[in-house]
Amino acid sequence: MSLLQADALVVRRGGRPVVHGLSLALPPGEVTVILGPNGAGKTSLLTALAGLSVPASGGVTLDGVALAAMEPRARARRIGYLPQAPDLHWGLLVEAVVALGRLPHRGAFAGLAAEDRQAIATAMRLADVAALAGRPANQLSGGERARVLAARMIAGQPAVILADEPLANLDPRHQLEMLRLFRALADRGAAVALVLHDLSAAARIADRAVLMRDGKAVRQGRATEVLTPAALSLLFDVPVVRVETADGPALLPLGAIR
Amino acid sequence: MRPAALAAALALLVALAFLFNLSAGKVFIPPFGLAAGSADALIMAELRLPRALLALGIGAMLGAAGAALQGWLRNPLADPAVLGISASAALGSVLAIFLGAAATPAIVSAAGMAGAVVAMALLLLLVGGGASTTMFILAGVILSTLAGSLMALLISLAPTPFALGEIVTWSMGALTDRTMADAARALPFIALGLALLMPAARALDALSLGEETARSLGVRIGRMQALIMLGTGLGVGAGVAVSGVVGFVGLIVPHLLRPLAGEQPSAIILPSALGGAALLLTADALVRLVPGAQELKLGIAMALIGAPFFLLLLWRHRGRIG
Amino acid sequence: MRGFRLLLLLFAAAGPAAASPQRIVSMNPCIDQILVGVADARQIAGISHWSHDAAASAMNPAVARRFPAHFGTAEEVMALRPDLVLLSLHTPLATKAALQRMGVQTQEFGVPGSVAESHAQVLAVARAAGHAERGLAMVRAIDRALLASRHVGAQTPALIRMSSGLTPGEGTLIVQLMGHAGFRNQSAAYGLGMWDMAAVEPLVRRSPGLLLTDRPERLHPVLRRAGVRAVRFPGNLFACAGPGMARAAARLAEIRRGVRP
Repeated sequence: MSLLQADALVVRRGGRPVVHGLSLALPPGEVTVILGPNGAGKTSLLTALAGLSVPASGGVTLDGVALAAMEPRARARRIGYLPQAPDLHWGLLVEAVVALGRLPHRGAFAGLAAEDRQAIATAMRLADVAALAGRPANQLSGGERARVLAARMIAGQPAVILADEPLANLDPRHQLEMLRLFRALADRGAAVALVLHDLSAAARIADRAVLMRDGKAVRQGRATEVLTPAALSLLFDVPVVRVETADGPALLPLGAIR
Repeated sequence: MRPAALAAALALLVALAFLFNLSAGKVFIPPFGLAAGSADALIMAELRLPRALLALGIGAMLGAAGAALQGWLRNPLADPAVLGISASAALGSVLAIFLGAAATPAIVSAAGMAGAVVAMALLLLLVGGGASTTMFILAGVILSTLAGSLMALLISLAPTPFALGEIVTWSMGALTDRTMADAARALPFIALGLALLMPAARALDALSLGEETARSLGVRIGRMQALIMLGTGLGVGAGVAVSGVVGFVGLIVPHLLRPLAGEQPSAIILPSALGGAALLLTADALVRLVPGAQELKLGIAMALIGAPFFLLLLWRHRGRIG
Repeated sequence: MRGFRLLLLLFAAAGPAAASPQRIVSMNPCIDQILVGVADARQIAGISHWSHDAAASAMNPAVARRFPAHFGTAEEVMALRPDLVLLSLHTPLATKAALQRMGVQTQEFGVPGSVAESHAQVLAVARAAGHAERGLAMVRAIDRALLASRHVGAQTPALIRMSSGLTPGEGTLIVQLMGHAGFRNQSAAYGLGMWDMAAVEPLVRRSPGLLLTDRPERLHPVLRRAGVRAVRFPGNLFACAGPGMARAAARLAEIRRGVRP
């Protein structure tokens, strides 16, 4: 079981600090939700956690080993990253896109091993894209595309999953399926971190939550303690109302329009 | 089509094109069974064989480089000639000739490779800055124009009008009357260039999901770019130093093969190498068959086919590129 | 030859020389060669830059260096304050027009396709320079050289081919000089026109006889293996008529004498 940990992390972009001395831990089996207004530094935090940017100071460790010291392929086998609006060039077939998730597990010229094929099949089943296998990925609908790209990440069987706004552009039905998928992955033992803007979705899936503003974690801890209407109102500067439902709490950002 | 079946079919095509290239000319010569010491045997061994070998190697290199560049830039209009790499190689070679290296072809070749690698490095600097597709094509146009102008400048400064004529003729692109020594100088670097492109193929697949995703999959972008830069630079540069600028092979071939091989960058590089070889072998045989004592210049023939093809591609992709 | 002389005399007799120009600029290396031979040195205000390069021009470099060179732009030419500019067929239209607009007197010369035309050109340049008698002397000298280079007897097949592939064919002055010196030019047998690029392959299939080339050391290896004999014929000798013709003819005669029957 892996533990991804950031310690006094500082990330600069164009000389300006965008993550400012942030510490957090992503425990296995739990979903951590990162919330904050636009420009709070959530994406910068996520890319640093994925080892894709070099921190100005502080560091990220995976089971005590600094990401900066890890071989890129070794790191890629352990950490899966789903960027906010991933590109999809060419008409790669869906199965080829998902197979890319196995890249860090394969030798330079090696074909797909039985183990790779199994991981791909499992990922396609979990993300419910098996029926799309032979279709060009760039001709799919937004929802299908998001699921295919998620399957690509899952196929790598990463112990740590980092996803940046995975619900963006999805209809309610696909949002729900995507949340179920991440929940299932955490239940299988992965450490999952999601950047979300949907407060209700966050409240329903999160085990832990980090509230970010100006590159700092203003609050973090158990989701039930952090995701309160009061804290979220303060964070986003809008009134937030909590409604209890049979499927869990719903947090609604409100405020008069007229 | 399955990759192995496609590769086999293309390899057969290359073999046929090779034989066609050997036999075709103002006079048809059967490639086999020539009497030793006859004029035909001499022509076959010393003129047609080096020419066919060069068409094979240069065609393969241009096809593979086109496919790799398209994958790298995620742009179906990329090609060593379109991006100014061939023109820069030509400039390198002309510079070497200008500085007095005409008698040492190895230096002319090395200068061609250096020119191509420098052009690739310039493009790489642009990619580092996150250039758009339009920017790339524009950068290529500018690089081509600049290299072409500098070449014209060197030619105008050249000491004798006869040396000048020779350079102008060479720069138009042709394989006429090349020697075995020319082939021996170009082919090892073309093989090296192809060998460098192959390990970049998988990384190019990952790159189709964007650079960030590719890096998250453990792809070393810098290493991949270095492979493409050196592979394209050495291979295309070594070819241009011998043949002059032959454009559009890298543009046409990957495009024709995508419907058969699929659009995955790694699946298109090897077929494009084979397809490029078949195309150039055929084109170089056909330019000899035009009526009259003269040959059509291969570079001009390819531009006549390639430029309308480029426009067609541009028209098809209009609205999607920008 | 006799016919030519008659023609020359006619030319020489025609028209009295007007006040001779004092600052003549030539735009063309072939005209340069004639000009330096017929004009006073102080009359020549400029020659083309090609003439300063011994590899490109048949002109003696020591002679050439006595005159300022220009690169053929109207501006440079005007800066030389010419009272007569000698243009060639190859002078760019824009340059010609610019010079004429600025009111400089110009005279245009073609590319001679025969000895007679070459002689006429020499005389015309000489008359333009105000020294018709020197033109006549130059023509006589050329005729003497041609006569000395004349070969009587069997003609031997030969082909001039520069290392770039450039091959002069029927209708060019140099091919007429070849015939004069005892060579039977083979370019037509390969289907080549006046100035064509000759490929190597046909020369292997059918020997051109003696191959005259500017750089025999760069002969394609297949020609060497096919037993084609190559001799050096400098690239600066075959492009110009006028006095250069005498040197070309002399070199051709020298080569012809070396051919074993």
